[in-house]
Amino acid sequence: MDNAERIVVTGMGVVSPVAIGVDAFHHALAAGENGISVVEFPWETGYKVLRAGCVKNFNLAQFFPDPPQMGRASQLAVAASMLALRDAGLDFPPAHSDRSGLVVGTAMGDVDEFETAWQGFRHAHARNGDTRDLMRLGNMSDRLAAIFGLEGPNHVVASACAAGNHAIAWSAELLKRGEADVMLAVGTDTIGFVDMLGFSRLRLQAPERCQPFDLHRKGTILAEGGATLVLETLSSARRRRANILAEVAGYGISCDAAGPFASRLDDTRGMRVAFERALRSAQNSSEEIDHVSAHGSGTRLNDHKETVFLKQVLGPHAYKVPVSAIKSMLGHAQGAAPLFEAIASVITLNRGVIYPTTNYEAPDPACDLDYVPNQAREQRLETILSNSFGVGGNNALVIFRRWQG
Amino acid sequence: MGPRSRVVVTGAAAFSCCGFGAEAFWRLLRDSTAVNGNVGGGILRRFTPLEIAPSNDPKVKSDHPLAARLLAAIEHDLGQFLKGLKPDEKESVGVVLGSAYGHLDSYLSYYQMGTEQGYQFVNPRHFPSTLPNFCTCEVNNAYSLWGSSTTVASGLTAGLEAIEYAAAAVERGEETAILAGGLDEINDYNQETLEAAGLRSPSGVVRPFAPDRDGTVPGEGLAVLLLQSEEGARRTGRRPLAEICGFASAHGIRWKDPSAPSRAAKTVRQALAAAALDSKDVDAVFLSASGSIEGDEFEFMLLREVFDKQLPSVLLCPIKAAIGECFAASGVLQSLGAVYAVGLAPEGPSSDIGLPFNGTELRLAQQLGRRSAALVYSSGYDGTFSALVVCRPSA
Repeated sequence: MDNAERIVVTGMGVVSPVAIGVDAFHHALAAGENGISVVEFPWETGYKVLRAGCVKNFNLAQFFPDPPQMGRASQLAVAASMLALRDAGLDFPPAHSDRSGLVVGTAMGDVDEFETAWQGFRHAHARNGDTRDLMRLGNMSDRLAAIFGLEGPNHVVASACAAGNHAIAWSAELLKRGEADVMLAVGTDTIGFVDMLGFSRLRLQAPERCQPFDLHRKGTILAEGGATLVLETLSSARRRRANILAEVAGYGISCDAAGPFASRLDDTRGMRVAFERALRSAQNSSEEIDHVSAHGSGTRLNDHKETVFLKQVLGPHAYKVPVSAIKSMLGHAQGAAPLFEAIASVITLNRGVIYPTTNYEAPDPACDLDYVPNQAREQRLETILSNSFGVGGNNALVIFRRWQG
Repeated sequence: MGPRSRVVVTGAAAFSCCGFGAEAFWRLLRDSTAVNGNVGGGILRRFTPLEIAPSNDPKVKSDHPLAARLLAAIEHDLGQFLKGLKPDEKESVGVVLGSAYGHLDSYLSYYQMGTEQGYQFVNPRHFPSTLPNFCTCEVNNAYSLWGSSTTVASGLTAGLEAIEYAAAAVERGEETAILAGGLDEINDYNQETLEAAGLRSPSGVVRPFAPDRDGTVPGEGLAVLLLQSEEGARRTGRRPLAEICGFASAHGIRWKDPSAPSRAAKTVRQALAAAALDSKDVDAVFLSASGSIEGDEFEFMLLREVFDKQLPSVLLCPIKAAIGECFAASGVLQSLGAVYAVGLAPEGPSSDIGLPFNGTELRLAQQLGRRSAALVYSSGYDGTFSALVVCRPSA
C-alpha cells in the first residue's frame, strides 16, 4: 500500500446459492457442489428452461427478527452483513458508530422493489405511501446503516459485475484516509426479469451449466446472493484484538473504454491498467501472485480474453499460477460475485485449499492455463489476485495477502 | 507516502434548463437570474445531439437520450482537452458520475416491453443501458479513457459524492485528471415519487425560504467538473478556476428528525475542517434549498447552527430557484455555481436581497462578486447529506 496504515479483513459473511455462512461455503466449494437449479419467471425470455443460482430456503427473519420491509437484494445484504459482523466480533450498533461505515456494491439493486412500486404507480394504488426512499439504488446502504447503527461513511457504487470489488476498494480508501476505523464492503444482487431477459437475449446465458474456460462453454448462469467483508485499519484491529484473516494488499480500477459491444480479444489495455494499479498499490511484483480467483464467467469471449490478459501481465509465470473460477458452482451473482470471490480468496489463504473450476471437461487450446479442473487442491499461498470485470467495461482487481502478523 | 496533491477545477461541462454548456449556466449567475430567478423548474428541451454538438467523431455519440446529452455537453466544453491527450495520458484519466435514478427509464421501458409485448420485441443491444453504470462507461468509451470508471448511486447526493470520490483519486495521485459529475432526468418514476411524498409544488414555482413556498419542481440536468492535480493543471496549461478543499458526507439525516440539523452541521464542520477553514471563512453558500416546506425549515436550522450569529451576513445562493430539483445533478450544478463564485465572478462586492425567515434576515445573492471560499451542500429528501468546500485557487 502507498500508505502506512494497512487494511485488514477481520470478518466475513456470505449468503450464496451453495451455502449460507463461511464454513458451509468453504465445504461446498471445496466439494465442488452445484448451486444452479431451474427457476421460473412469470414472463418468457426465449429459453424453454431457465437455470439460475438462487439462495435456497432463505428467510431474513432467521437472522433478524421482525425485519423491516425491503427488497430481496437488501435482505441478502443484511443477512450477510450480520454474519460478517458476528464473525468479526463486533457489536451493532458498534461502540464507535461514527467511525464505522459501509459501501454497497450492486449492479441492479432491489429490482423487485422498484418494479413493484412502478406497477403501483401505473395502477394508481400506491400513491399514499411514503415513497421518498425509492431511489433506484441509494436506499440500500441507508437501510443497512440504520439496521446496524453505522453512522460513518455510507455509499453505493453501481459498477455492474465489478461493483463488489469497487466496494472493497472504496472502503479501503476511506479507511486509509482516516475517515473510518471499520468498513463493511458489501456486494449484493438478486435476479430480476430485466437482467435475465438481457442476458438471454444477448445469448450470454448458458442453457444448462456454467463451464468457465471449457472448450464447449456456452455462457454464464445468473445468480443471486449477498456477501460482506469487514475491513478494518490494522491499528483498529490490533486495538480490539480482532482475529485478522488477511490483508487487502492492493487494488486497481479501470475501464476498457471500448463500448458495451466493442470489446476485442486483443484489447486488454483497460485490464492491464487495473492490474498495474493493483500491483503498484500492493507493492508486489507479478511473480508474487501465486493464485488467481478469475472473473471466469463462462462466456466465450470473456474467458478467452481473461486468459490472454493473464498471460500478458504475468508472462511465463502465468502457466505456474492456478486459476479458479467459482462461478462454475455459484453462477454469476453480478455485484455480489466479486465478494463471493474475495471471501473464497481469504478462506484459501487461511485454509490452504484452492477451489476448483467445475464442469471443466474439454480443454480449450485458446485457454491454456491451469484452471484447477473439477478437484480442489491443497496448496499454501501468500498472494491472491481476484479479478472482476463488468458489463460496460468496468475492471476492478483486488490483491489479498496472507496475514503474517 | 508522498505529499498529497492539491485538487483544482480546470474546466466544466453542463446542460440544464439554463441552457447548453457551462457558460450558459454561469451566464445566468452573471445576470443574477439563477440565484433569485423563481424559474419554474426545468425540463430540458428534447433535442438531437448533433444539432448542438456537431461532431465528426462517431465515438462521441450515443443512441441513449441522457448519455447523448452528457456526451454532447462534454464534447462542447471539454472535448478539445480530452482529445488532445496522448494515449498514455489517457490511462490516468477517469470518470466518476453520480445519479439518483440511474436513467431508470431505460430499465422500466425494457421491463415493460418484455413483460407486456414479449421477449422477442426487446432489443438485445439496449440491455447495457438498463444498468446504472451505462452513462459513465459511455464517457470512458467516447474518449478512450482507461482510468477509473465509477458510478456512484447513493441517492440525491450522489453527484457531490462523485466529486468527493474523484478528488480523493486525484489527491492520492491515482488519476492525473478526472471527470466528476452528476446527472439525472425527469421520469415518470421520480415524478410519482415526489408527488407521493407530497414534495411537489402545486404552484409549479420553486421559492426557497419564501413564506408562501409550496414545494419543489422536478428538474433535470447534468454537470461535470474537470479535476486535475495542481501540477497536472500547470503541465497541461490549464488555468485553475477553483480548488476543492474539503468534503464530507453522511446519511440518515431526515429533515423531520430533531437531531438532523446538528448531524448535518457536524458534517459541514468536517468538510470545513478538512479544508482547514472555519465557518467565518465561508463567504458564499450554494445551498440545497428547493422550496419544500420541511426541507427549507431544516436548512435554516442547519445554517443557524453552523453560522450562528454570523448567518445574517452570509451570502446564500439557492440556485434550485432556477433549475428545480435536479436530483443528483443538483449538487454538481451548485458546485458549478461555487466555481463561478471563486474563480470567474468579477472582483468586487456582491449585492443581495433580504428575506426574513423565522425571525432572521437571510441574504439571498442577487449579483455575485468574487468570493474566497464557498460552501456547497446537498440535502436530499432521502436522508442523504454531503458538503463540499470550494476555494479561490492560490495564485
